[in-house]
Amino acid sequence: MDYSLVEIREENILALRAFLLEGPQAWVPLQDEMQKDDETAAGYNALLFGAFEVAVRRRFAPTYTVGEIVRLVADLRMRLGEDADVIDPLVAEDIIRRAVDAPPFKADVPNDLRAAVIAQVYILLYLVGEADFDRAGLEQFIEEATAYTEQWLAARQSEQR
Amino acid sequence: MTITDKQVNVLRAQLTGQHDEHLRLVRELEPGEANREYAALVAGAFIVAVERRFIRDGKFADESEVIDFVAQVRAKSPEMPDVIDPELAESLILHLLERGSVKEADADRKFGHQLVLLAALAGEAQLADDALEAFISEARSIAEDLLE
Repeated sequence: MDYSLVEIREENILALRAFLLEGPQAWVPLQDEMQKDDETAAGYNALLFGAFEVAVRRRFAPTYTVGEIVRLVADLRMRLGEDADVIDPLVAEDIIRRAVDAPPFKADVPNDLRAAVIAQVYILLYLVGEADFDRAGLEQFIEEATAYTEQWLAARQSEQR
Repeated sequence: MTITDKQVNVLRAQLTGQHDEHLRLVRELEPGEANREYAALVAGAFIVAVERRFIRDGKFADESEVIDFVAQVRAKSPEMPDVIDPELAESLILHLLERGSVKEADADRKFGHQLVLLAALAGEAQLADDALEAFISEARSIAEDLLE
């Protein structure tokens, strides 16, 4: 992947807003567009990742305990009822720990990218629901997620130079 | 095969939260005894504790209640999330509630998880005196069945 070709465009931001308001089904019409090339898909996915990072950092700032991370993932899974198995709890806790720079697990965490993406999506939507943004709050969150993602991409681009 | 009073005393120390005494008594068990009779006794106690906590009036608790309980155990200290695999812990309980099979893990790991969950269940139940002895007697009887 050539990060110098990845940028956050207006369509990515519109897609993030739709995702936060409507859930993953909002991205169904984007499937063809996202399969164009890695860099196009990365624009969408990087912004989703940025939104996850910002949401998690907001939730666990300024201090947190690993017990609170355990609790959040359990509450999310309890909310899912019979679909609780969709989330791998260790993978979910691991990606939250990484986002808040918590000490990593000493135990083995499954190296499962698909499980990590699923957990990321569910946690993001759960936290957005919990935050109960008004219109201005949602726009502020999207701006923050966009700024975070642009910084993250700039760091990846400088690594590739 | 019978469970001895010595093995029961190890379980009693564990159920009453006497950690040092429990460790001391475990070390006094013969290796074969620890792996067979004592493991069966812990399994028996675990079955009794899970049934008492998660079955009410013949109705099994739902999966959410099990997730919640395991999360409470794992959230108790910063080390616990590393020690207890939530899926293994939940599956050990849910299996007894006739919901699915126990997650794949070696026997030592399953036993370790049973011990920690049993300690948490016993701590929550605050067993003492006659209730404690009734609990132990039930666990002993199940353990003897398991060993047959």
